[in-house]
Amino acid sequence: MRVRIERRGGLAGRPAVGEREDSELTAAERAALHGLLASPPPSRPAPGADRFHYKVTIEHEGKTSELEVPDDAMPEALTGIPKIKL
Amino acid sequence: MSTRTQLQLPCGCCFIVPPAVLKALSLRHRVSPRDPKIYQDSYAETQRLRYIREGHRMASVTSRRSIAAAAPARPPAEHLFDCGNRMTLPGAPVPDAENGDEAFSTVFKTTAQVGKFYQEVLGRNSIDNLGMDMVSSLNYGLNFQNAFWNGQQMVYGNGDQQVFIDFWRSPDVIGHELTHGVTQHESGLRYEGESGALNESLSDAFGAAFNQWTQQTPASDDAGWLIGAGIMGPDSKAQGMTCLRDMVDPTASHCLSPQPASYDDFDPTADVHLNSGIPNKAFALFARALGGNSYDTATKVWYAACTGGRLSSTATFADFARSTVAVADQWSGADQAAVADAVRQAWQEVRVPLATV
Repeated sequence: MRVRIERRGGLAGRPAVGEREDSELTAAERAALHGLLASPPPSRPAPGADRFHYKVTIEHEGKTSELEVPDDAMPEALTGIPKIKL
Repeated sequence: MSTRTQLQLPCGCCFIVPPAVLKALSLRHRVSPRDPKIYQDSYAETQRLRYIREGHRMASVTSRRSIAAAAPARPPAEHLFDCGNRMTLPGAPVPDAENGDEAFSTVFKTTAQVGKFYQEVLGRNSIDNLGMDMVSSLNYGLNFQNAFWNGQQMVYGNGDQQVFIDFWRSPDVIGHELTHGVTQHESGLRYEGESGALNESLSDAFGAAFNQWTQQTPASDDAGWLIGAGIMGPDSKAQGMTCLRDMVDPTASHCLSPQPASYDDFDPTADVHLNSGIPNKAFALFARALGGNSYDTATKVWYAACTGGRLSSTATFADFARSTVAVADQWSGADQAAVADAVRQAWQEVRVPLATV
């Protein structure tokens, strides 16, 4: 399994992205990812302004699945994966 | 914290299927004769609900104006919270934040200054013009690279200390986030497309004007038009990036997030923080053409154009441009002709059409 997390929005408006192989995930990240897949959040944007929005893409056994995750539904453990590339 | 109920305005983003999608589906006639009718009904219903919400919003803004005029102006109360690097809001209350560590005392004092700027420059009583309490949470998340307005309060992350440092370190960022609250309580600009970019631009414009007001710098000073100059981390600076955005020169390479500077380059698919460069530049051009301080006239024209029910929640750049022209045409003072001419020139330069279609 491979997970890719893209982040958009925020005050800076600069996209960020990060990828992990299953073996690279920490226990907390893996548990958060499984929780997200088990109960996908609503895709509505988080209230307010300058909020992040995430796209989580999972490749597993040749299949790809995508989840749109608003800022206020993203598990804390996964928010550190996307990085801004300067 | 005050127990007074804070007015909650409709966010305008509560439809699961966007109206534009419903409208497109309603025009299809390929699937079955029944389907387009379903989508047409759904589209009509969302539009009807929008009109009702817009009516409530306009009535609310109008009634608040008369209440605000009668209410005695007092500095809004402030409440600060510490998230302790978690992402649960609001966090733990911070007593005596004004005399706390650098982060809390700076946010407390700068937020109070924004309230003073609203009162003294714009004649506004806090975020909602009714003296609403100002709530801020710090230390949100671990290395969290953002500051945001969540519809009720400000939230600040500490950055990763590489690309960004603490997000409260730029006064214009604090002014930016508070102004999102003002917009929510005034026009309620929808956070997508042109209205979303306009929402962002108003926060940049009043954030920059606040920064210039606190520093007492004239509109001609380029440094006063940088957004987020105080939050750039060592890695960003090492690559020559001195700010998030530059309102005078939105396309500049010293911006972490360069933006279009002309309506000819508007990208309908882009994030609202990118297209905001177009009205950002119009505001900077207008203020610099007038000379002196941006907060003496230009900021007041912009404020009048986006408050008091003059702007709808779905306003385009052209709608707002025409609103600024209407305000400038009625401007009182010896410089009225210069103000009216400068605002037209500014919008012309960024290629936003002023003529009604």
